[in-house]
Amino acid sequence: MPKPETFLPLKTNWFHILLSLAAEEQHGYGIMQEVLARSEGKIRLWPATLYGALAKLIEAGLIVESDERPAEELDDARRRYYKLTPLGRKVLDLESARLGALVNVLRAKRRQLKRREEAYE
Amino acid sequence: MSDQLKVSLRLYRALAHAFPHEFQVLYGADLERAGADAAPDIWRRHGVWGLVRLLADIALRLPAEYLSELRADTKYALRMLAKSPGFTAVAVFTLALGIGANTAIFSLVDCLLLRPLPIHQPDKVAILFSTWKNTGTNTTFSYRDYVQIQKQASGIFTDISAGQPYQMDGLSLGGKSQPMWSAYVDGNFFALLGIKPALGRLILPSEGKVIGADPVLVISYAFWKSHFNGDRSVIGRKASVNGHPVTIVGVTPQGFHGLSNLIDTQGYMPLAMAPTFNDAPSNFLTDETDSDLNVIARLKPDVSIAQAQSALRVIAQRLSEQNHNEMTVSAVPLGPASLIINSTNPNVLPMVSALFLTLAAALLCLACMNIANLCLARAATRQHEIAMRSALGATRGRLTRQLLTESLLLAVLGALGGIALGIIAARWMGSISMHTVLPTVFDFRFDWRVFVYALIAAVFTAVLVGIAPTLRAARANLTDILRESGRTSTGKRQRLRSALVIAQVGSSLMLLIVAGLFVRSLEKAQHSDLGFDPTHLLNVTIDTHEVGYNKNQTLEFQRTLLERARALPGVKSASLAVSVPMAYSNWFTNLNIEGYPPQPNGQIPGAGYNQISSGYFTTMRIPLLQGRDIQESDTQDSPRVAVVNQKFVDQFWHGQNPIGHRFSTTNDPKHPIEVVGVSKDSRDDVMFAPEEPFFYIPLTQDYNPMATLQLRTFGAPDALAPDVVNLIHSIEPAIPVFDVQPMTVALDTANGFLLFQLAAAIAGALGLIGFALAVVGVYGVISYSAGQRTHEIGIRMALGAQSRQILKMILSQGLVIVGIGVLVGIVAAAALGRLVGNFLFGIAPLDPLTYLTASLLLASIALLASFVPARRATRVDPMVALRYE
Repeated sequence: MPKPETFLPLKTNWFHILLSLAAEEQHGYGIMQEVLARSEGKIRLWPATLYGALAKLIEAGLIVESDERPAEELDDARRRYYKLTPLGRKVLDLESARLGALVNVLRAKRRQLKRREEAYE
Repeated sequence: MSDQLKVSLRLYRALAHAFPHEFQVLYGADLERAGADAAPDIWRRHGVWGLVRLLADIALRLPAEYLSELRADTKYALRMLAKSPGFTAVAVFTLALGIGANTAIFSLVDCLLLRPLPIHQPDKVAILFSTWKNTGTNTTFSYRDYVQIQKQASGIFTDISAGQPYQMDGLSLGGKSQPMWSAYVDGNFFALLGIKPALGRLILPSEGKVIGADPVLVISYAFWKSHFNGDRSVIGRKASVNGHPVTIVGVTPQGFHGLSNLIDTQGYMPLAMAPTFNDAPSNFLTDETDSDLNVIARLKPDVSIAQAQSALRVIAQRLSEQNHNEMTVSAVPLGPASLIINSTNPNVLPMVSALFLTLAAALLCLACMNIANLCLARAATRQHEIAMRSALGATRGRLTRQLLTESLLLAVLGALGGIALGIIAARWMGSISMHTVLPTVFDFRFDWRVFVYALIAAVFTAVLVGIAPTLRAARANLTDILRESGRTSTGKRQRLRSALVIAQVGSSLMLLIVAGLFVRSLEKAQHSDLGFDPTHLLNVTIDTHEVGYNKNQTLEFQRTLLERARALPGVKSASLAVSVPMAYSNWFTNLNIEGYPPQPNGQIPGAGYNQISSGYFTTMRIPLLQGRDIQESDTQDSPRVAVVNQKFVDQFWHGQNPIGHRFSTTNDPKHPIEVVGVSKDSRDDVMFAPEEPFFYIPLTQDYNPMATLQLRTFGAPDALAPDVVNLIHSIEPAIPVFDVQPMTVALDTANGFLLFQLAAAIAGALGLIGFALAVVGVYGVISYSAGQRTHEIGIRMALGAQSRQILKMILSQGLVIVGIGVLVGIVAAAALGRLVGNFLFGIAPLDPLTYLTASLLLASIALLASFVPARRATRVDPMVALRYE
């Protein structure tokens, strides 16, 4: 199995797909909708790009097709569902941590700037 | 739903269906639905641009998916090839041999025929030839004719220029003298060709019109590199050509060798300097009999060569009237070797090329068939894998693509190996010595044409090799294969494989027969009676004109040289001659012959000739049949005399005693020459030409500063070479000495044995490779089929069959294949015979001995190859064989 670090930094598309699968299994269209909603309509995963990425993610071993189906009433049996593999989860965690660290750096710099401005005043 | 949305969705669906099969199986339905579900929302939010985005997204994804599939296929193919390294190695090597032989021969053809001269728009430049009706010979033009053509043909050509190309001059610089192959060109020569100097300047349009006015020299890039180490300070340097001062003013661009790609013209001088540098009469600009100008012309942009041809017909008519001699003028596109081709037989090079390309193509086909056979055998063992994959949902197209990828990969690997082998072979061919002081350029560069050719050969191979097993796999019935568990050989497959081997044996035999013909022809040529004895003979060529000697100095030098050479220890006899048999300079002249009536067809008699010193016939061992030899007493002041050959007598004075008869050359009709002797016919010119009338005149009576000293030695002729060179330099230290070689070596020229040797070597190499491939093919198919029949053989033996019967059964299969193959090969070789026959010496293209030997050789080895697996089959233990699944 490849090391999770080798996937970092993760492609934006991949990150959004993995993020959408973090809590539950999803089908492709569901992932598309979730990303759209999460970004308030700003990020749209276009269908062919999405399925191309799904194929690549499966090939890379980050996600798999799921046999389990969500609750009966939500199930759309004709669609394929995907879920994270342990590797995929690990990669998602690492990428999130990486992004979090970057955000922390930014915050620290902001605080520094603010303190300096206060000192001048 | 709006129309835009509907149309977009329809398009979207069509694109979704175009995705690769595997992708479609997994994601096709989802992709389609996701698009359909998202589209209304996209339309609402982003309008038309959103729909465009949607379509662009899927349209761009499409090629990416195919590419990634190709990547996967390649990876898989690489894995499969790596899994059977033996098969891969044999296949790649076989292909490399086939493609290598093809690229090598193609690069030769490219160099001789295809590669255009490195000049501006070479397809618009033509070279003009005049053909005289009464002699039928292609010749060059006199200066007067050239000027006439220039005046009259300005409607079809933008520019017309001329050069007196190709003569050996001596270039002296700092006390050292060296031969220089040079041309005298008119001022507009370089402007017409449209080339720019690498250094300094070229000959200017204003130069070359006034005798002796412009003593400048332009040297070739190759000469500059080899003789001046690329020294830039060479420009402006004072030197001398044949003892006359000259200034070096420029260097031609790299890769430019003059009007031919094959010989590097090393120096260019203005046309009007020719009389000065050659101590020739200065009237050549007006003398219509002095016709040795090559005329080149650049066609106007909208004029074709055919149009030019018809315009030239009119001009030729006018020139004929002026010259009182009927002539035609033809324009030929300037090719890499047009000067050489057109001076002899216009079809020789294309014919040689066609022949060897055919042979090489046959070899490539042989290699392909071998690999196709290997692949078939492999496809049989892989049937399970293929059946499995197709059971798992792989389509026929998908499997075909996979198998084709594999064979394409093989072909690419083979092509790489082939190009490497081709480069090595081409280098070898390029390094072959032409045994001449001429600066030959055999630049078998691998330019784009050769690469394209190798590529086409590779793709052709891949398709040919890949298709047979693929078709088979695609047609195969799944359940049958899975049930059969890979035993049995079906009759159909066996037939296909046998057909392949028959074709292999056939083409191999064809190659072998052609190779045999060429080898026998070489043998015949080498053992043919040349009319003189080339053993124990040393040649040394000296040109006094290159150190600026005048006529009297030269005659004195030649006399001293002969006298002292004859006194050298180890020398039996010595003589001088202007031309050496089979060498590149042969002289021919038209004659007025007393007692020979004018011919009804207007044909003017002519003969080849040589200028010789006393002792020539003794040294060469050409028997004198009648009369006397050329002697010391034949000097420039004594009456003109000649020795003629038997053919001369037969043709012009048939049945008469020729001694005392007289003739004269058309160039010098005022000095009749009296025949004093008759010699036996002796080969002088190319091997192919029939014996021609020939005469020998004293060197003293037909002055020529360039002559070859020939020495008959007691011991090995090479051993004497240093002494002779020392002797020459003790008489004149600065004189360049060249072509120092035994006569046996000197015969290996392009006019002599060289072409025979080359043809025999190339055809022999192709024949041997083809032979090996065919033997491997026969062995492969018989041992495969014997292996497949192990079960059957076991049953037969269990039922009481003797091993002799088994042997007979397997062998007879081989016998049939080889027998039919041999018949096919004989027919194919005979079909090629007419082409081959043009290049054979002393044997018929259907030479029975060659056909018989080659057939027997191939058949016996091929049968031996099938005997080995047949023997193995008889050793089968019935119990083991029956258990064998």
